Amino acid sequence: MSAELEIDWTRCQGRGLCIELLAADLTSDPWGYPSARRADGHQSGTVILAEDQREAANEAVKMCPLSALKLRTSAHQ
Amino acid sequence: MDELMWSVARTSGMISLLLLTGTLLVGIMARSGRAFGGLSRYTQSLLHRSFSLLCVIFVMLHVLSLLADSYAKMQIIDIFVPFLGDYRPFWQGLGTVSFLLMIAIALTGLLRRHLGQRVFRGIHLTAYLMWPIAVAHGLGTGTDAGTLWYRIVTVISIGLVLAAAIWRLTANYLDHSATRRLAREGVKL
Amino acid sequence: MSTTSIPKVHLGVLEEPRLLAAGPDASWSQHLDTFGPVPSPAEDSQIVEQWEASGLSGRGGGSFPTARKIAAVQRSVNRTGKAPVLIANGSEGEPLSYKDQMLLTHAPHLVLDGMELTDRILGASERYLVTKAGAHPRLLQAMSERGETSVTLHATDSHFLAGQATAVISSLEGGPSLPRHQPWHLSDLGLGGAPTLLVNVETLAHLALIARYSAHWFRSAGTEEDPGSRMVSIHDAGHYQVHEVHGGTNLSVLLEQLQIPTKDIHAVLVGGFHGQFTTDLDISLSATTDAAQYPSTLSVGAGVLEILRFGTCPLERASEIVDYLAQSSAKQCGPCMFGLPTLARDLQAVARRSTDPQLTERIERLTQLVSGRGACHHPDATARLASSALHVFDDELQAHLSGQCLHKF
Ligand code: HEM
Ligand SMILES: Cc1cc2nc3c(=O)[nH]c(=O)nc-3n(C[C@H](O)[C@H](O)[C@H](O)COP(=O)(O)O)c2cc1C
Ligand code: SF4
Ligand code: SF4
Repeated sequence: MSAELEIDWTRCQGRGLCIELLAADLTSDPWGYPSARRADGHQSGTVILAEDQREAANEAVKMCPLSALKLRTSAHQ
Repeated sequence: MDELMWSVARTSGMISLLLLTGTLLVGIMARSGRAFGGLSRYTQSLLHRSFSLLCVIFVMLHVLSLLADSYAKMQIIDIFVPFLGDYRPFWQGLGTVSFLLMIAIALTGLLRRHLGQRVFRGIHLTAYLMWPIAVAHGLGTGTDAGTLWYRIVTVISIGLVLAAAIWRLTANYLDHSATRRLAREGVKL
Repeated sequence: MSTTSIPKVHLGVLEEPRLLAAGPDASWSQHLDTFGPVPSPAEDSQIVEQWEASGLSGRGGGSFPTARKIAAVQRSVNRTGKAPVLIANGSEGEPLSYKDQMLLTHAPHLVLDGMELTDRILGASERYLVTKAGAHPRLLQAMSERGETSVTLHATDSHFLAGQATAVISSLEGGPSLPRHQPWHLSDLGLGGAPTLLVNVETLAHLALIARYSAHWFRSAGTEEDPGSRMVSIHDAGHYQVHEVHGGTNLSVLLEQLQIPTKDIHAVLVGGFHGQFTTDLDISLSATTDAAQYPSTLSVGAGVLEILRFGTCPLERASEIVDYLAQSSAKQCGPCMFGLPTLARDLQAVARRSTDPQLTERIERLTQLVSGRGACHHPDATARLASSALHVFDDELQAHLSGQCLHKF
């Protein structure tokens, strides 16, 4: 079981709040949008997070100014 | 009793105005997507939310104390319908307008995940209208409006908000606006 | 049309047309004379079995097994009790593709048969046929010929993304024809929340034929991995032609048959603007690209081939296409909206023989950066096309980076 952050790219405007909260998993691309640090981090619209990031991810979901995030628990991996 | 209520009303009104200005300034900061020194974007968001909710609490206190104060002759209906009051109805009415707007802004802010971005943005942007109305209300009806320190605080607030609003409208306001502009100009055949 | 199996002489163009067997502009009676009526409802369960056994994959570009899509909708209907919706996708947003338009002009009845059958088997409550507005007069005529009244025609925009599945749904719901964030399957939550089967019009035409003639017949064309036939649009020096070819066909065999002299061909873009380049013509054109078989097998996507002859600079062509794709971005998702124009600009610098030593590395990084970071696959596919250009045309790339061009002097 791992946590996956689902990003609605049509909403996200790259304000960078989630990048700050999930610095271990996310970094900013040149235009300010969240980008997975892990090479295989982006899986069809979601970002796979490290196990201990669930709490921070929940906070990011709650505080994202564009309501662009959701947290999913997935079985794969 | 009236004396006490009167001073609670004045003090809470004053604090509301400071908090409101703070909320607006931090809102504009947060919207830029930039971290300011020690203030991360996350902290800014938390501050923005806390300031605004505190502001709502102080405005409530402000209104309730005026209701309890017989000198102000305020009725419950004056809280919800502007310009009906007996005491300086126009200036008091501005207070009602800004109060209603503030409740709407704060509520839709808290419920934004359920309302959708468009409703939230539409209502939230009226904050730029609400702030000057609230300031005008304070200047027009406030007992302390004539005092020097009230004027100084108001002038500084107006200055800060004007500066922030102007910054808000400049091309480099958003973080990464330079790289984004560069990218957008990428294809221009 | 014979229903016995056709011996596989060689792959290439079909010996006998299937989808277009009823001839040009086939009328309802010509259609019935050629194919006969659709099988009766009594045969529905066999039809589903035959569809499954046929191995038909979607002809809209994604090449997903069609029977599995239908089964998913059926499961969702059984679970939720909601009536499903059927959408035939004839949007054909790809500017180099003509095959759907061809099919809707000459064999509309086969597409409508396919809709009738899937609708009957799924018990769909609504059926939509989505095409460019220009196709509607012919379709209305075909529908009135056969007394079809339950299909709703819907006109889409003609831009590149309009045919993407969620863009079609959005357009049908009265929104803009732009892709949406849709992390769930259309079979569970599609149009208006109903279980939805959205398939390409050519896919439906194949379903209509398999229902009549069996999976065995279908598989008598094509290969084991890529059974059946498909329509392809072939572009060569400003002209295009549409043919029905065997699945898994060999590219050079096909070109020879079409009398396009392979000695003049430098490269072929396989799969259209969302495809890949190849200079090796001895490859097979299949439904999907299996990593293990790359580059000897390439996915032909929605069936588009563009021929690049010697004398034109392939890097210039690649740059033109990526420019077009960057401008086609729906500009909804940041990485796509900003990443694709940046990629296009760097590729244009390559095409213009910039000697910036960091260009290739930057392009490689950009292609990785945009992939998987959008509501639809547009950025992924654009990145794949760009990196295929750099890898396949490595000689040209090295020449350009030193200010030379191998094709123009
Ligand atoms: C007294 C009430 C409030 C006022 C006056 C206020 C004012 C503002 C202002 C002026 C902005 C900048 C908007 C722009 O220029 O685009 C803003 C942004 C914002 N506010 Fe408020 N706000 C209030 C309450 C709230 C509350 C209760 C929330 C709930 C959490 C909230 C959430 C936000 C968010 C998410 C943004 C956008 C920040 C971004 O885009 O990064 N606000 N606010
Ligand atoms: C950018 C983009 C454009 C697309 N355009 C079309 C199109 O014009 N026609 C089409 O049938 N499918 C198109 N597709 C594929 C559809 O999303 C969908 O997968 C397909 O219509 C399903 O039908 P199939 O299973 O029969 O292939 C497009 C996909 C993408 C990512
Ligand atoms: S917090 Fe929201 S808007 Fe900001 S970068 Fe993350 S997803 Fe995008
Ligand atoms: S990825 Fe690009 S093309 Fe697809 S929806 Fe987002 S912006 Fe539009």
